Amino acid sequence: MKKQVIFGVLILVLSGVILLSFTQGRYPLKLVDIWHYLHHILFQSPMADRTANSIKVILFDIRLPRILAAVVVGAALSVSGTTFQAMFINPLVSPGILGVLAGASFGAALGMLLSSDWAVVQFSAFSFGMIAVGLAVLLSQLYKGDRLLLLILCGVISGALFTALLSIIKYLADPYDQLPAIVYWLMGGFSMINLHTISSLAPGILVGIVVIIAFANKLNLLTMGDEEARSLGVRVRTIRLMFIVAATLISSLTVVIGGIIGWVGLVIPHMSRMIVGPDNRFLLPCSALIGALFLLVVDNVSRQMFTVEIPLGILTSLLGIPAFVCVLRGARKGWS
Amino acid sequence: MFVFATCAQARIIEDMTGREVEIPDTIQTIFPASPPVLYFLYALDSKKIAGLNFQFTAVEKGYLRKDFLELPVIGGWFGQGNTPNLENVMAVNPDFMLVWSWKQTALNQPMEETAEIINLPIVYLQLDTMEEYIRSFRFMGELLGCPERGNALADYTQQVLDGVRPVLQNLPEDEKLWVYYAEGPDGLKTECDQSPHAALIQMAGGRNIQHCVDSSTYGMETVSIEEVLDKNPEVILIRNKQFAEAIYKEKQWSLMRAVQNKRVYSIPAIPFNWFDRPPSFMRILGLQWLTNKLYPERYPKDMVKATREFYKLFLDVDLSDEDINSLLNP
Repeated sequence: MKKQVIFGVLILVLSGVILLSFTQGRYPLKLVDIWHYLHHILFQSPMADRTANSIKVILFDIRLPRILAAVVVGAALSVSGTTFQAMFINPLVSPGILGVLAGASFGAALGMLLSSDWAVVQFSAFSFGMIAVGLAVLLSQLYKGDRLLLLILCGVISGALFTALLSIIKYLADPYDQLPAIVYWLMGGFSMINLHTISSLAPGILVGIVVIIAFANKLNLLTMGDEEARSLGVRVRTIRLMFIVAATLISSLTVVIGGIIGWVGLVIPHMSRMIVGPDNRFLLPCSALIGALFLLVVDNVSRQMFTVEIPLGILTSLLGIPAFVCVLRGARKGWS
Repeated sequence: MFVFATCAQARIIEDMTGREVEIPDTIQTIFPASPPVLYFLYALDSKKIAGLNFQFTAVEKGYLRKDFLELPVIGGWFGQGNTPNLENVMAVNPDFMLVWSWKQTALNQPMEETAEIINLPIVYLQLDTMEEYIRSFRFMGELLGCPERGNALADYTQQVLDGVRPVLQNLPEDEKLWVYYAEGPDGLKTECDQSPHAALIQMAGGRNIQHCVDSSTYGMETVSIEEVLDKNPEVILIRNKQFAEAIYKEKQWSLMRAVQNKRVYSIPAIPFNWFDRPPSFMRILGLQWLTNKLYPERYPKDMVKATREFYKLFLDVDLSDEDINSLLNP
């Protein structure tokens, strides 16, 4: 299949699922109602104000923000996972490799402990995500040796440090209000999302994704190894740092939007690689689309399936693991 | 350092679950295993408390006795992996551990085994319902040698129940208000109608819109905003400050009857929550508050007066009108 065709199909499917998602939810809103409402908006057909207002709120204040959040977060996690896997030339790498998720979790928990203002929590989550990765990068600069290996080791150190700090926060939190809030938040999900939040955070994510895709060529060169990339005139350290900053920025923002949502950044890049191969110019956009699609479907399941909402992070693991097992056979193929 | 057992006379008592326990004749201090028990003891006889389960916040401290606040924090068994530090427990050397026999969970066995290791007798209380609170006040008053105090608290509780009962008896089922209990910063955590956490809604004659059995003893079930919209509650009770500030600003909540009719109530929580988490004796006041909020015509109550009396009797705190006002409107 031609790559253009694949992209066409993916964009069509994603658009279809987005439209379909507006009809999914626990509030019994029939397609007919939505149709009447659209008719009322477009052609001023009569409709009770109250009904129209209810439908408007459900579609645009409840469902739209969640749909946007799922699409943006899914794309961001997949792109950052793909970037890290390419950069480290390692299929087992996921967005959390340099400690960004641990740092952001700690930041969010600290914010909840110190303030009841949600903006503070979000800012703190974002900042500490960046700080954790900054720490890993700084530590890795202290030593001479294999850059990539040192980065991974220092990422493990930084992640472990912030995981430990998070445990301290949990221990200090008030067990009746703060602790459950922290625990649920870390399980991931979009129940806190509103239009204002998503519209203020999504642009940052989109910019990060666009920047990464724009430099896909350089990422291809990095996957050949440092020596080879240098001989082709790539300023390896600068370019690598740029990718790290961009990928960290977008994965940090996903935590701000929806807590910790695992597995997407590990599984989707593999699937995408099987479909379009390892060339990042095609792989990155493809993995953004598939990631968006995957998370949107999973969020729909979580909104629809059960009387209680299962946190999204749990569902992505439950659905991501079998998917991963299925693609494992072909996973090695995609690298060649 | 060895701790020599004192030669105090021991006696065998029967606790509220019918177990026979050997405890000293004169009881110096007791280790309350969880906050509901700690608060229960605080109301009954705060001098007998061996240690705290966790640190209180600054606001709570303003309502509690100094000597009580200076007690060491020794932890407790109250879910989510909380366990006390055994050496701390041994250091304060309590005469026995007081436990609420709420649900026998997997945690009971390790707790009992641990208590056995440090030779700490366990006395079980039953605190699930208001009636059990009445019995527990009398039982512990007797056990601690302060029967007047135990009976005073029990009699007050009985009076409250007697006042609320006729309201519920005369309330037709279809006039009972639909209530939603909003927890968490997004207001989308709640408790099932079968859960002890939300028991007060039924006690006050409301109907909990969340009809289910909780998936865990811990509760805090997640619901979706669409479901709450669909059930359209007439009254919303809010636990979380953040959400209390947000509810009137969020469009999706504005569609509900409770918000349109301004029947959204923040639950008073100082020094301990009146409604739940932890479910404590404060519910005796919470029951009056909620019944009055739901059915002001059927249960007219001067809540300022009731609050002042309750705080004086149970917590030994004299409240000014200003205090009461800020308590009732958190």
